[in-house]
Amino acid sequence: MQAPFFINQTGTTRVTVGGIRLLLEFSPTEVRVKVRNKTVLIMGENLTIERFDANEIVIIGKIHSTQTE
Amino acid sequence: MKRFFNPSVRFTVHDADPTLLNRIREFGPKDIAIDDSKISFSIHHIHKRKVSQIVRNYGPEVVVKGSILTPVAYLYSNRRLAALLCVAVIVFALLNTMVFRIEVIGVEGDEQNQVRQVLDDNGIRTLTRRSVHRDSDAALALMESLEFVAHASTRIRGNTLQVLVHRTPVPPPLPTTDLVSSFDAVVTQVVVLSGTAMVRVGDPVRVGQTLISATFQVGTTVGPMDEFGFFTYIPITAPTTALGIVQGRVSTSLAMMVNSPEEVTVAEAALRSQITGEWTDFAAHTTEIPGGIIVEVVGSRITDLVIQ
Repeated sequence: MQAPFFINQTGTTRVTVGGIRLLLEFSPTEVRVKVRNKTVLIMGENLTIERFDANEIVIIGKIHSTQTE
Repeated sequence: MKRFFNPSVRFTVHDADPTLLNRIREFGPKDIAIDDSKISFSIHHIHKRKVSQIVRNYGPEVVVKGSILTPVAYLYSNRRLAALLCVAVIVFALLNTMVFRIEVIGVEGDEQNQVRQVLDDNGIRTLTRRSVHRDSDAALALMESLEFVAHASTRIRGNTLQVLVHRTPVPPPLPTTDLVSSFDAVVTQVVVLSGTAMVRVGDPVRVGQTLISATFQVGTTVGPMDEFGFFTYIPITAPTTALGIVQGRVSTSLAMMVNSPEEVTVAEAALRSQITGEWTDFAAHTTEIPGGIIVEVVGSRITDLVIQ
């Protein structure tokens, strides 16, 4: 069973997104994640993936903003 | 339309650490999917080689699938190259309809130059469209214009127009020499096919004597008067080929002298055995002279007097 959707941002350096379905785009300045019927956009600098599995993804770097479209 | 020309390449990496995505993030991977055993992502085809080098260090098994339309997408994203390619295709198509070379087969040298001149006069030139040659009457013009052309045809092979010329066969010139006898003989048959007979049946001929002259009479002209006051007529002749059959009887003989008539028979047999060769008819003659008898045996046969 897929984990429930959640976004957990720790300061300006770490974002954890749960319940993801697809990582739509990934670049050093922008990460776009598909979660159910929404898209989560994480913008920042030097973004990297710390952990990524079937349930959640952990993005670290200098986070500018996290928004849900 | 944009989706149709999707220029992406799909990577699937088995048993890989998801953090490999950090190594390729500057190439902008999209549609990243991950499950327990593999990571899949799409990337622009222009980064295919670099990304391949990176991900092969992470996963033992990498599957790369490019869109079947990747070449089209590549051209779509490189308009200048696409335009250049289109121009090249158009130029190639135009050039493919042209004739660059005319090859004349079947004749050489001056005759070939004459053929080329006739072709040129009829508008068959290089750097013209192939359709012009396909409908032309060049072959007909060649047959009508040049005597040595018995048959001509044209065909197009690639950018070459081949003109096949068949020459009119030229018969070898017939000899205009007289037929002369190769034997000393007596003529037994004269058949003239061409020329003028110079001997009649029964005439004795010598070696080298003309049997059939290589001329024929085409008329006469008035010559000087003879001693009786009549005009003579001089034949007008024209050269021709002497053809015909002249046969004659050739013979050979041996003779010896004997002392008495009883020895004649023995002498004839001895002489006859001495005459060798293809002699078919034999005759013996005896002549009495003071002091003996001359026995002569003659062998003869009928043969063609002219040996070609």
